[in-house]
Amino acid sequence: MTQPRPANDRVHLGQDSPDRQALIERARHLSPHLSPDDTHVSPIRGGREGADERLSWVDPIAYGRTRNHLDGAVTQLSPFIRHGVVSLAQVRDRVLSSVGSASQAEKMIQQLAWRDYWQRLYAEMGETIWEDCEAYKTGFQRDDYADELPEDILNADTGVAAMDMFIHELVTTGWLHNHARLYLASYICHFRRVKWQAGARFFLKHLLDGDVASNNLSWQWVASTFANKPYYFNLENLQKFSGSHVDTSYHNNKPLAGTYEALHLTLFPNLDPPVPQAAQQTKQKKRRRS
Amino acid sequence: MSAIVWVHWEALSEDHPVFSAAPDDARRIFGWDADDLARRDWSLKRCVFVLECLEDMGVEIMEGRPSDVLNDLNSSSVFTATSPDPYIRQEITKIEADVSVIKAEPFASVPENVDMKRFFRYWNKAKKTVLLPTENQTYS
Repeated sequence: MTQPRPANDRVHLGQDSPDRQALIERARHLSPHLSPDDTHVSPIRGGREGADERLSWVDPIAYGRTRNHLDGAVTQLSPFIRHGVVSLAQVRDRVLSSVGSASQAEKMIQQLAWRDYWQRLYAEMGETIWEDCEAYKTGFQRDDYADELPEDILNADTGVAAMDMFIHELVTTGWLHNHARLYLASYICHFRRVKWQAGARFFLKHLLDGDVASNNLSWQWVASTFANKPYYFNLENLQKFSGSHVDTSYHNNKPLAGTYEALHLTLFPNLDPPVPQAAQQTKQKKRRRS
Repeated sequence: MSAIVWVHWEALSEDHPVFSAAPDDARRIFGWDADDLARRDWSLKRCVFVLECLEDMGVEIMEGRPSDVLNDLNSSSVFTATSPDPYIRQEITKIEADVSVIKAEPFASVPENVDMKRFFRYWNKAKKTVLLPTENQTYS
């Protein structure tokens, strides 16, 4: 523990650092927990100018159409929203002013509302946000999951090319597209069977927008401890939403390949097999007819 | 001593209503708590990002636990922004001066009795107000 210091002995840092390198050194000096080999700094810079620039990129119609694509029209406003550099209300007003009708803004404002929702829940939950909200619905118990992340995940050396790329991006830039976060969280939790808490701590360490409320509850949603079923994906889905910058080749991502039914059997062997999609559709048609 | 605005992680903007609630001559203080950062285990890039935000705002950064920093300054009143973060909430309770906790501009009105177990139960209530500009919002 650091000993409290008398007021006149505290370091005052009211003035600007002369350049970014000086600021980085100052951040390091103020944060003795940082390891010397933690050297990555984000291309996203803090401050009002960065927030205003990203507000000017807001395009709710393109966002609504492409936001799930890893190269879609997302704004990277999240680090600024997380730290209140811009408020949800300010972003909402900007979104509304850039469309003809409120309905065109709904998709983007709904995403902002997720943050409001998580924050309200966090205010009620406090530190219990680190506990499983509900039991896993994967056919496994909590103790079946590893407590810590394996070294190959920490080192972006899993051998699954897309996951290694997402981990590298997370660690070096501090930002990851939301869909990439879901893929990576699902990979860690279900393909590698690691407790969501270990993954959540890893994300909070690196994400510039890392916020316990959004982060932990999204992890719990993926894990199924705050949802009715686990979230998992296959290579085909990853290929559909990834741009050309992600290696989604079969050869370099074999563990992710397969139909949803086949992956379900592999990932959740204790659960009943899922109803195949074709059979589900026939059932729905019958229900509609009757 | 005059009033202080305690700036914390959740409200790094002079647009936050906490600044208009406090007297114009209030000092703006940020308590940089190395122990809290170690507990959170933030990487260098996170520490750099928030320091960039703080320098941009021109607030005074003082090392130490915020409640210790503020109590040492013997201020009569402290203004700060609301937060769901348990650490910040606990710090607020340790401040000896009168504390005013100020909300951000309203985003959505949701009745207190709404079932928050799933997002869409919240959204069905929130969407009645959330698509309106902030000037038409009220706090809830």
